[in-house]
Amino acid sequence: MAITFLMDGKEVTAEENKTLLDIARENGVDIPTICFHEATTANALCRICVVEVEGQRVLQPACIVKAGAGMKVQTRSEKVIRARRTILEMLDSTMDLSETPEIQNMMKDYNADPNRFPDAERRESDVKDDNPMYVRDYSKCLLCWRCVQVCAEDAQYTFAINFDGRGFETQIGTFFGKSIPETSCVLCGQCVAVCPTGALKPKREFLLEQGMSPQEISVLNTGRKQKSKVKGRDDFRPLTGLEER
Amino acid sequence: MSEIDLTPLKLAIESYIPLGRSGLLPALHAAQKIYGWLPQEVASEVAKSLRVPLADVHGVIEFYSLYYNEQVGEKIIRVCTDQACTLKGGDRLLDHLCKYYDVEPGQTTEDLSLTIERSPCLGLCELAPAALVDDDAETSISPDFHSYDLGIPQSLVYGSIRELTSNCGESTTTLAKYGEYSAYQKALKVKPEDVIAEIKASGLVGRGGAAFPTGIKWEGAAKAQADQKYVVCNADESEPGTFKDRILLLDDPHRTIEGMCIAAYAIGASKGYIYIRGEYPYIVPVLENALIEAREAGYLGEKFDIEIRVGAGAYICGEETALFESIEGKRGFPRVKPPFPTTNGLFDKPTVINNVETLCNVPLIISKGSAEYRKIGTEKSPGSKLFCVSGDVVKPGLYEIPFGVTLRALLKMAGGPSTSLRTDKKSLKAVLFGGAAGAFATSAHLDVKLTFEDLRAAGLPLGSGVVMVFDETRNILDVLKRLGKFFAHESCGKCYPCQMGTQRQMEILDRVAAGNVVEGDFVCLQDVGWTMTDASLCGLGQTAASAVLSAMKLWPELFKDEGWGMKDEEKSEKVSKVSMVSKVKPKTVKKVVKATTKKSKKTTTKKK
Repeated sequence: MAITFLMDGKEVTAEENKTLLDIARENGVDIPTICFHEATTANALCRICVVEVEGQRVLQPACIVKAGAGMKVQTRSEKVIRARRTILEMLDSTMDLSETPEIQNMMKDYNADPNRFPDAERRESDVKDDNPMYVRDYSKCLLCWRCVQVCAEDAQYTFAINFDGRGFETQIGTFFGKSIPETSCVLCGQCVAVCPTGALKPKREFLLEQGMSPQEISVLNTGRKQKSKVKGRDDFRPLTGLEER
Repeated sequence: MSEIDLTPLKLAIESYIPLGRSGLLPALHAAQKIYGWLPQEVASEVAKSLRVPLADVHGVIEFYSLYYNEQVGEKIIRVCTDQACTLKGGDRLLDHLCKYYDVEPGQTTEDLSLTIERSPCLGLCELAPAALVDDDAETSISPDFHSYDLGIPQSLVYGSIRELTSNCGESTTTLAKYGEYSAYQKALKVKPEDVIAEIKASGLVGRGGAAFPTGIKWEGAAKAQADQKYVVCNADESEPGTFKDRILLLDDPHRTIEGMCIAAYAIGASKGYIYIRGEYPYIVPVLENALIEAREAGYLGEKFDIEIRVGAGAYICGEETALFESIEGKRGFPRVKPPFPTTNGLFDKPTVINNVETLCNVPLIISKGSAEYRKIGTEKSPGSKLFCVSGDVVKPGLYEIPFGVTLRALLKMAGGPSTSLRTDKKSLKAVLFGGAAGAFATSAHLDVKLTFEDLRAAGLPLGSGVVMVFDETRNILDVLKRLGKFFAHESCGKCYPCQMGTQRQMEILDRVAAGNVVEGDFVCLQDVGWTMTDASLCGLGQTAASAVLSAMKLWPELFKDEGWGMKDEEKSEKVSKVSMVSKVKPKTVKKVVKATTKKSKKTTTKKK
């Protein structure tokens, strides 16, 4: 059944049971998202997608709130803009956003001031390079939870990672801080795939960025130089992890 | 490390194995009782036995303040340095203890005999300053620290009426003294829907802070179809300044249990939980004993029984859905609502969750009927209300008064500033209303009637009934600084506005309290505050700035330095459109804190 409601003053018709975010996207209305990912359970935790719904005391997350007939939704009211801008400013004062062009664009969109909180405590962490598949740089982690979710019931049922601490001091962590090879991690790579910020990065990508040549990486990985049958493609032989030593 | 003997652990957690993941918090409590802390081997054994992933067990240990993954002292002293205790010297007490034992707060003595910690509100505000020494409350500590009470805290009960507190003030009321569960028996003679109708007619609303109509909540759960329903008593009383549920449960546990029995009958629940905060360990045996009495008398048993669950140091677990998560053995993250607990509550089943004081009203309503019940209080706020009065008053304690009494009258009873009970001439500066998540009142509010409707009109939340009194000598900025610390410590970290907002709010308040106000602080605090209020996921975040925002309205001068034009900003109740910040701000050195786990920060063992 189709329902009709108002989004930013315009009448919108949509199928029942759809979220405000889906409907906004169908209608070309831009609602920013950070933690939302089509493949993971929506937790509505980044709150960047909040919108103002008439009659509701607080702003509503568009990623999970379903549209209802007669609803009056404002996607860019003053309250919404203040919330989004402040969230972005707080993010920028907390973590390294250098590998999140989308968020940087949002900052421009919302006139977010990167120096709003100049003496703020930041969440910093050393790069954790403890397994052959990926590196973890939690200075870049914005706690979207996607990696924990895909490691658990959203995909892999591996349960290798969870949280350290709570509140501002939360960080993704393993059992008593053990290295990845000591955990139940199966190196499936799903966490890396859903990471929005480069906090989780394929090892090879990381090494290339560090200035290592593909040749050097091959040597590092296998102990010997790789030869490909395709001429000139030596460097791109995929690493299966099963190469002879 | 490898010499840890796991035999006693296996024995102690055996009974939790059938509970699976839901047995995690009880099992970790049991483990910590044996080993004093939770070493890796112990945590893995618990994980294996309950079939919970290791990482998840770690996540749970990390979430709750009362679990330790590093060795702590044999004895742990938790000194309350929250508002009410600070007014009575809580900070001095902590300093004194730390100097005496030569440790810093959060550290353990070299011989591992003692850990001293700073604690958020322990719910002993009327007996301040107070501490928790292992499982005992240490209260009414004298200014020279030489005398104190140790064990089960005293109950100071006053007021103008004794309805809910008729059995409070002495010691625990046994079943023999409480008498039959006559209200429950009366309820059983009518249909469940009639019980709900009676509760609805009484006008009872929740006393935990949200003031939701109890009858409507029950009706929702009663109508929901499910093979299993639950009644949960929220006794995770952690709102700073609140101690009413502590007294109700200690002195009159059967009233709460009877209330739960009636609720269970009304909605068709066969299982109940009492979730009590971890900082009230001395109540647990009292409750256990009361449950045994109720079982022996046949009130609890096959049809409906109650299990006690003990929290582990997390204010957020007072939020109903976070409390469910905690019972389910998880980190106390609030869930998104809807769906609401009445349809998808504990274990995703229809659940009624009520605060202790709310449940205590239930037997009263059923016994005398809603019409009689409504004779007390006002039309829109029927019944009586418990107020937790602490701070600068002569007689701090629990006050039961009918709804409709003025704040002035309540302060007069308690001997607040400028009242006849006071011998000094100090006047009233402020009253923190409703707790940390509340708002400030001043002498301008003295004639406000204490009812839901009058307080709402005055912009004051009734909250959990906190009335914390500050006289003119008190520094509001210090109060705000502590509020900021409290929320930063207690934010669960799930949603961004609260996770980062409580931290930023604390930083700004710290700086302002230190006299280091910079231009833009006012607007920054407002933006952070309103963003938390408008956009946070749960009630904690939505109220984490409420007291601060109310203080900014009352005392804007505290947040400015001479020479700034504040006019526009003072008015900007609404949205501050432009960030008029930071351009002139002095660059302070960026504080970089390595994200260590909270445990290693908190309980660093003193180096030899």
